[in-house]
This record gives sequence, structure tokens and C-alpha cells, in this order.
Amino acid sequence: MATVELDKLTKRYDDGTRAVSELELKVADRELLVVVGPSGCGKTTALRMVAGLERITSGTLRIDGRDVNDVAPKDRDVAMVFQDYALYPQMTVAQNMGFALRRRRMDKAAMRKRVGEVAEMLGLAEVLNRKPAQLSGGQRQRVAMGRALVREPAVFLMDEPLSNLDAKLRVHTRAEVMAIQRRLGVATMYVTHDQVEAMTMGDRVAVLRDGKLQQCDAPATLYDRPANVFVAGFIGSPPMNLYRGRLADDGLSVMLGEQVLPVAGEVQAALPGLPEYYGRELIVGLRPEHLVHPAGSSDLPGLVGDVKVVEMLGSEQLVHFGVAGARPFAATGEDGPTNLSTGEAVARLAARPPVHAGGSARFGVEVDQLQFFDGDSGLALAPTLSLRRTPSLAPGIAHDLKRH
Amino acid sequence: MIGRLESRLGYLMLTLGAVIALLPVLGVLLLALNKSTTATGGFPSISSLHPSNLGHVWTEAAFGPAMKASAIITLATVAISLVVSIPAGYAFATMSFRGRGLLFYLLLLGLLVPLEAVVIPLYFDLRHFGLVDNYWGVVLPDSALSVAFGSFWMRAFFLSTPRSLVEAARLDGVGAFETLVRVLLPLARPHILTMAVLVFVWTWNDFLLPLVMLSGSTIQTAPISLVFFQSQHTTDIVGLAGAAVLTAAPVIAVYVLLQRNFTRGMLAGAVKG
Amino acid sequence: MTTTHVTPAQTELAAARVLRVGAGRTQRIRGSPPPGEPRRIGYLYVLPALVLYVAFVLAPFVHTAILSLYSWDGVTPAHFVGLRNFRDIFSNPVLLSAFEHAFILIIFYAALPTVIGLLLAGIMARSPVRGMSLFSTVLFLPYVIAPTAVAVVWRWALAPDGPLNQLLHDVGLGGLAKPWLGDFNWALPSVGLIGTWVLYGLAMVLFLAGAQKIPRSLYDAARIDGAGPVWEFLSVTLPGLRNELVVVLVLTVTAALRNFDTVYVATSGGPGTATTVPSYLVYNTAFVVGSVGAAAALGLLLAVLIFVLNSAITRLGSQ
Ligand SMILES: Nc1ncnc2c1ncn2[C@@H]1O[C@H](COP(=O)(O)OP(=O)(O)OP(=O)(O)O)[C@@H](O)[C@H]1O
Ligand SMILES: [Mg+2]
Repeated sequence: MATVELDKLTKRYDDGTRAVSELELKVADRELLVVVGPSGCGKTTALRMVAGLERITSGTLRIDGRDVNDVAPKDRDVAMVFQDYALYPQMTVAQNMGFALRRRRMDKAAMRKRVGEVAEMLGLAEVLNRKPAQLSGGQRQRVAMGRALVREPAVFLMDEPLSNLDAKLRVHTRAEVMAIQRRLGVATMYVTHDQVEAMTMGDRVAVLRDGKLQQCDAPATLYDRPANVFVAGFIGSPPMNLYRGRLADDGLSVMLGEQVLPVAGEVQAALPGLPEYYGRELIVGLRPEHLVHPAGSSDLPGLVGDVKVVEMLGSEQLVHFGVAGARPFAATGEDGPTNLSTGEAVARLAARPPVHAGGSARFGVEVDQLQFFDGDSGLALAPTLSLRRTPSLAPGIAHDLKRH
Repeated sequence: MIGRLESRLGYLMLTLGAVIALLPVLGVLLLALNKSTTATGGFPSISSLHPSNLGHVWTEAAFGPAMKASAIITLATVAISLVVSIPAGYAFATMSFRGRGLLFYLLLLGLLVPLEAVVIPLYFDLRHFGLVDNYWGVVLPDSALSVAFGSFWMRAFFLSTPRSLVEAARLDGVGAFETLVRVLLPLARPHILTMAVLVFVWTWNDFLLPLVMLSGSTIQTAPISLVFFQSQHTTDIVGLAGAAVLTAAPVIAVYVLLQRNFTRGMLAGAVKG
Repeated sequence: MTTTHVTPAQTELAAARVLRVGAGRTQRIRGSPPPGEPRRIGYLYVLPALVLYVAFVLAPFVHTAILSLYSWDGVTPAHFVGLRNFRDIFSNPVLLSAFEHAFILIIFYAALPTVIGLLLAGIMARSPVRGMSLFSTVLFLPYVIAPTAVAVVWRWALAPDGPLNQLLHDVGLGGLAKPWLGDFNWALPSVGLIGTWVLYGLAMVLFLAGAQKIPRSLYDAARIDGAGPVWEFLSVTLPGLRNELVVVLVLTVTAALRNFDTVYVATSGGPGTATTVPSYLVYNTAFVVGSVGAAAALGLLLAVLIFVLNSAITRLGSQ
């Protein structure tokens, strides 16, 4: 039963790198909080500060309400699963799992029983006497989990624990980790750079960028109501289509270059501040699944574009098309700019009838799903959203805005 | 075609090199085992082997005590330099204490200081402390001269182990010393063996330090016995060969046994002050 | 194949000798380390090593420097003489010639093995070497054997009625026979060749092992660019062996300057002063002649020489 509270945690390395800035997060009891963000955004650093492996430059870390900034890792009652597993190579699986327990002067029989139970749960009972080198990647991963589990810690910390597994095993193990976490109900901070992993596993997901928190919400909220263009571009695969636009003279529609989309009544009601943007730049976001197949969308508002590439996935097709006359906004994603930098929108459409590359087409738009962001700050226009707006994030995004 | 020719030329060179290295060694070995004590010149023949010559040299040159002294000095030096270098390398690699960089620099200076530049004060200063003409007078300086390399070598190993291993141990509540002993040292075996072999070879073969530090005592190391034997028996060629073989044998045995470890150290450019 | 992988320690160790790297990888400690990370306890871990080192290496070294400013016979009280010991070295032709001999020996100890080793590496760079493990075991052998034993054996082999001269007689070249180590012209080269014998195998193994690690594709690229064997050696093999070159030169040059055992046994510096070298003079002057101060000055100069040459070699290697 524990909570973890990161109160304005900041980490500056000796070389001056500001890896984490004023990070505000709270992991509730029994919660699995996923921290996600592009490479180098400070996820590992944040986790290591919680573990006590990295000195906190400023801010306060509380575990169960207790200030633990100066508490040694072993006294924080946290267990960590390392990305490279950090199994002791010369010890057997059983010894690896029991090592921490023996340190705690646990009774030998009780220790063996606990290790046995955890091994049973993780399906490691048969390999207890093997050494790490004699295990498969998946087994090694489970031993690393097991070593953390036997300690029954108050907090689990995991740093990309699945990244060394192949894709199939990763999906399987993901479910396993979730099930175990649910069962034990231990507050868990889970770091990954994989947004799919984040969305499927997290009770809540915290998105980090350049050491700053962008948004921390339940996956669905994160997806439906991204707090800013960065989150919008980062979460979702394929990511949200983002275009620059401005309000039309009537104030009831938005113009993407030459193309006009009406602003739905629901949106107008939800965004009372929208009219203030008259004459100012907006960024308009639209998820690929909110575009509608050209066949059967003639009664909907639409966007016209040249179809460039069609990815047929069997159950659906991803259609890449250039929105005629519109200026795309490139959010910086994990691997540099997302697909929008090519100026193409992506539509996720029913597989039939197939759309053919080469021609021009008109795609329907579910205009009630449009998202609006401030053209200067990149923040979502949404007074009702539950997001935390970090004031300091604006400059970073403003920088992006200037570049494009 | 050209590649094959080159490759053949290369093997020819290697083989020639190996023969030139090995032939004198084999020749001396055969000579040492030769029957006739008055053998002169020419290459000794295999047919007339006679190992008892070695026994003769063993007693004549008092090689028994010399081998024992060499063994004591060498093993003690290996042990002390390991016991001292391992924790130092560990601390330099994994612990952050003030002045760490400076102290490490200071220690590295030892790689550059030749024995010739310290042997004089060693003799005259240690004389005051009764550390001359006994084992300590050789063992302590010899260990100290190996410490610079040893600390460096072990630090390099500890730096090469994944940091997460030490951190996992820290989270497991394992103290620094136990982390060293239980987690890291089992992994360090090849590295430690390399250091042990190198220090063994350096120390056993060393001549100057024992010559100076043991000059007033009856303790003689094997190389000293060999040189004394030579100065008294310049014409006893078979005896000389035997003495040379006896002096070199322990090192060669260790070398052949742990050749891989030795090579690793040499490839890294190991050298003692 | 033996361990042909070179530890990252290789360059570092060579470079560390002249203190150019080494502490470079030790990150600076500025901010306080994380809680629970061992800190001050670190002093305890390095203390034994430092005590031993300071007591038996560093302090004696400083004492050598001090002694070099005195005239002392080791028994009666010492007199401060300033830099006179050094002036004596530079004005005494016998002492100066010892350093000259040292440089000549560097040719035999360092240059010759390096050339042999590089030649082999150049020839074999592109083909995998079978039996490398066996070759390296044998080639290292002369380096492993006690230098005293090596010198004893060569002293016999090069003796007036030794096997070498006998061989010369047998093949009809008796006119060339001479007391090699007793000949004023031949003693120094003979001592040098003993060093060559000890060290050429080491150079061969190190360079060959290094050459095996040069990516084959570099040679293919050179071929396509129309490179001949010489150009290929200069543009691919030699640059690829930079680390090994540093290591070999450091090892061999140091060996050339620290060959006390060989000289003591093989020639005792003779005939005359034909083979006196600094390391032999340090011992002889201090413990036989009894001029401790002068010997200390020689020892100090030797250390400086080793330091300077090592840093020159390392600098050469890092360019
Ligand atoms: N010991 C260190 N000294 C200086 N800078 C560091 C150190 N460790 C990390 N950094 C820097 O801090 C920033 C955050 O690094 P961190 O490892 O926390 O990123 P991450 O989000 O875990 O990335 P990844 O997904 O690639 O693991 C990076 O810019 C990194 O270069
Ligand atoms: Mg990371």
C-alpha cells in the first residue's frame, strides 16, 4: 500500500544537461502509471530518481507521504526491473531471486517457499537451477520480474522491461506483467518509449518531452483530448493529422488553406473561446479514423486530396493523401517529425472498396471530432479538459511552430 | 593468387620466427639433460638424455632454497598486489569520493616510474626499518610497483561491467563490499588471472630488486642463484644450462598453463614500473 | 585463436603512462552523489593501494630526486652539491656514452622488432591466420623467460668457443668468428641482438593480432581505388595498427632502457665501457662505486628519459 509523489522533481546532470524539469506526478496506490516519451526525454532519469540511484537536484520525492530524497535505495522499499535485466550471471535463477531476501535475514525455509511461489506464478519452476546464460530472453525477463516480486516491495519501477524481447513475446509478456500488477496491487511506475505499450498497459499515462510533463491522463483521455499538439502527434498510430487553419469570416467554419470545414455545433458549445481565434492561426487536428471513405461520404463535409499511397492491411486500409492547398503542421514525434511532415494526411478506412493511389478523392470528415490547438502555443483549446498545462512547455512548441 | 603467395610468405615468416624463438630454448633444455658434463658446441642430441644433471645443479647451486625464496616472494607479491589492487580498482570505478580523479592520476604515475629510479632510496631507507635482507624488503616494493598497473587493470574491468548490476545489488540492499565479493568478483576471474600471471612473471624474473635488497643476506632468488652459479662455473656448460632451465621453468609452466590470460595482458600493453 | 580482442584498456593503458587519458573517464564529482551510493568509504578501499604505493614508489622517487642533489657515499654525512651531479653526467664522456648506448639499443630492442612485426602484419593482414594460438605461445616464449637466464644462455652461445663461432668454423667462415661479447665493436650490437631475440615475437603477435581486426572491407575499398601493396600498407594497415604501434613501442623502448639484468650478466658493461647503459650505471655507481648521489642523478635522468619517450610515442599514436 503505497503512493509515490513526484513534487517538482528536477534533475540537472553535472555536465549541465537538464534531463527532468519540475516533474509533477503522483502514482496512486495499486496504480500502474506509464511514463512515455521520445528517446532522451528523461524517462529513465525520472525513474532512477525515484529508485534513489540518481540524486534529486531539486523538488521532493515522497513515498507514502514520507520525504525520501535522502533515503538510500534499499530503505525506500522499491524494486526495479532493469532494461538489461541486470541478473547476476554467476547465480542460478533461485539464487538471483533469493539474493535480496537473504540480505533481509529471512528464514531459509520461508525464503525458499516465497521464491518457489513466485517462480510458479511466472512459470519459472523448471529453470530455478539454471543460470541466466542458459535462459531464453523471455525467461530472463521473467526472472528479472521475479526478483522484484519476491521482495514484495511497496513500489515497482520498470525501465523498458520488454524492449529486449521480440515483438510477439512482447505482446504476450505485456499482458502477463499487467495481470501480475493487478493481482498484487503494487503501485508501479513503468517507463517505455512505445506508445502502444503505454496505451494498453497504463491506468494513466504520463507523456514527457524534453524532461517536461506534457500530460498525464487515462489513455482514453490522452487519445481523445490531447493537451497539446505534441501529445496529439505522439499518441496514436498512425498519429493525428494536424493542419494549420484559421476561422472563416462567418466564424462557423474553419479554413485549411482553400478547403473549408464547418465547425460542428457540439464543438462550438464545448469551446466557447473559439471565436476569439478569429484572425489568428489555429492548428486543426483530425484522427485518421475520423475520415470517412470517399464512397459513402458525399453527404458529409469533406477534404479533397491526391491519393499518394495506400497501405492495405486486410481489415482496413490506410490511405495517405495530400490535402490540396492546406499547410500541414509537423509535430515532432519519436523518430523525428511524424508522417505529416511529408504533407500527407492519413485516413483509416474500411477495406472495401479499395482506394487507388494516383487519383484525386474526396474524404468525408466527422467534423464533430475536430480538435483545435492554439497556433502559437500549441495548447489545446479546451477549457473543460482535465489537463495540466505546464507553462514552460509553450516555448518548445512555439519553436516547432516557427520552424514550419 | 597474389593473396595466396602473400599468405605463404607470411606463414614462412611466422614459422621462421617460431623456430628462432624455440630453437635456443630447446637446445638449452637438451643440453641441460645431456649426459656428458663436458659437452662443447654443436647441437646436443636427444639420444643421450640424462635428467640427473638437473639434480646435480639443484644441489650444487643451492637451487632448493632459491626456488623456495623465489616462490615465497612471488606468491606473496601476487597475493598482496591482488588484495590491494582489486578494492582500489573497484572504488575508482564505482564510488564517487572527493579527489578520486587526482588520486587515480597519482597512482598512474607509477606506470612511468622505473625501478632504477627508486631502488637507491629503497635500499638506504628501508635499511632503517629493518626491511632489508629479508623477504619484506623485496615483497613490499615489488607489490607497490605492481599496484599502479593492478589498480588500473581492475578499474578497467569494473568499468566494463554493466552499471545496472551494481545498482541492482544496491536496490537489493547489498553493501558495497558484498557487491564486490558476491556479485563482481565471480565475473572478474579471467581478469584477475591475467593480472596474477603478469605479476607472477614480472616478480619471478626480477633481478635488480632482490640483488640490492637481499645483498647482505643468505636469501637468494632463483635468478640470483643462476647468476652466482654462472660467475663460479663459467665453463660448466651443462650445469649452466640446467640452472637456466630451472630458473625459467616455473614461469614457463605458469605461462603455458595460463597462456590465454597472459596474452590478454600483453595485448593491453601491460608493463610494471 | 588466442584472445586477439584488444581490451579498451589497451590504448588507455598506453596513454595513461603519460597521463593523457585515464582519469578522463572518471567523471568529475561535483553535485552530491545519490543517497546510499558509497562515498567516503571509497577512501578505505583505495587506502591500502595508496599507502603501499606512496611508501614504496612515490616517496622513494622523491627521495631519489633529493639525493641527486647531494654527494653521498652512503655512510658518511651527505653534502649538498646542487646540480653538480647532473653537470658531471653531461661532461663525463663515459656517462654520456651510456645514454648514447641506450639510444643504439633502442634500435635493436624497439626499431628492429617493430619493423619485423609490421612487415609480417603487412603481408598477412588480409588472410586469416591459422594456428595463431600456437604461434603466439611460442613467439612470446623469449619474453617470458627470465632475462638473467636468457643472458646466461646467450653469453654461452656467443662465447669465443661457443656454438656460434663453432658454427662459423664449420661452414668455413671461421674468419668471422670472434668473442662477440668481448669485442669492443661487437659487444653492444650483440647485447642489442639479444634484445631483438627477446622482443621480435612479441611485436609479431601484437601486430598480427591487431591486423586481424582491421575490417576486410577497407582493403577491398583500397583495391578498388587501385592501391598497390605499399600504398595499401600505408593507407590501411598502418593506420589500423596505431594502437598496437603505441603499445609495442612503449613496451620495447622501456625494455631497451631497463635492461640491467641482460647487461649485468652478459657483459657487466664491458669490455671497457662498451656496453655500459644507464640502468647498469645506476646500480654500479650506487652499490659498487658508492657514489649514491651521482647514481640517484642517473636514475632520475633515466626516469625522465622514459617519461619523455613514452609521451612522445603516445602523442605520435594519437595523431
Ligand atoms: N549521466 C548522465 N550525464 C549527463 N547527461 C545524461 C546522463 N544520463 C542521461 N543524460 C541525458 O539526460 C537526458 C535524458 O536521458 P534519459 O536516459 O533519462 O532518457 P530516456 O527518456 O530514458 O531515453 P531512452 O528512451 O533513450 O532510454 C538525455 O539528454 C541524456 O543524454
Ligand atoms: Mg531510458
